[in-house]
Amino acid sequence: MAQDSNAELVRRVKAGDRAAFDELVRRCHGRLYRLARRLLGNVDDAQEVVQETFLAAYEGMARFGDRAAVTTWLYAIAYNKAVDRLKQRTADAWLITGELEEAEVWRRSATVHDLTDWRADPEQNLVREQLQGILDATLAQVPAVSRAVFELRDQQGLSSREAAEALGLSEGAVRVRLHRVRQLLMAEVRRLTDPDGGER
Amino acid sequence: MTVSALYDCAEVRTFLLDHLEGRIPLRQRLLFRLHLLLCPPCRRYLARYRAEAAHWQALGRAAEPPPPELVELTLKYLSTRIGPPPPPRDDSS
Repeated sequence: MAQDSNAELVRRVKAGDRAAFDELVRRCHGRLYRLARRLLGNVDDAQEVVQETFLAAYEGMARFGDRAAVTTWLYAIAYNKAVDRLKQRTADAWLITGELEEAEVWRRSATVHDLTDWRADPEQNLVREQLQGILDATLAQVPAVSRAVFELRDQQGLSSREAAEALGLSEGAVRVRLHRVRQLLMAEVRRLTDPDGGER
Repeated sequence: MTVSALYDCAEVRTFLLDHLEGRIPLRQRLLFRLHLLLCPPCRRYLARYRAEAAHWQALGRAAEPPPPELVELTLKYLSTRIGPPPPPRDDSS
């Protein structure tokens, strides 16, 4: 039997089909969980945010229009709920919406960028777990909105337009933040894997 | 015309993503390419930038899905909050 599209599932949920909502949950749980985990940093908070997201979506489904994709709408709910939790944890607004260029890790990376000859390819010598470790440790030091942009664009494969819709940003802001995180990761991979810091 | 009259390296590195996504106007694009032609360090930087972005994207595609029990926990949570879905119809009778 052919699988219903997400739009068809939404139509069925709106018509009162409770089982269709469970199908939507099964389909979208993983991607929302990954976003929430990236933002909140632990399994329990991420799982709770995902549960609250689906509950809010079910209760608000009648108000969901047809213009946006349901996944984008779910990402937006999950992102806002995760940010609400982060605000409960900290009064420092920079940690949520700040500019990456003000981060300590960014200042440190600037030196690496100035000194590095980018000819070599350090990733070739790294195993996946090492790269994942560098990625996780670096992203934990940047504002939440930059983490979300990178997660949606370079980890989950959304377009800039889709990420912008999900996060309530302009497409330009998504591209600028993505570019900064990529540059930061370049420097951090080099700094953490090359004993000479990649100096010429 | 010198390289610095076109773009400096910092400017080129600022425009990288827009360049890769074809989002800069023709004149800027030509200046950008001319800078790359004359500047081996920026060429290497662009190659590294491209390669690393591909690495991160591949890592994202290969990410392990979250444990299936988390999905079941969510479905259970929703059942307690909004009620369970009706049992499947038995069409055999």
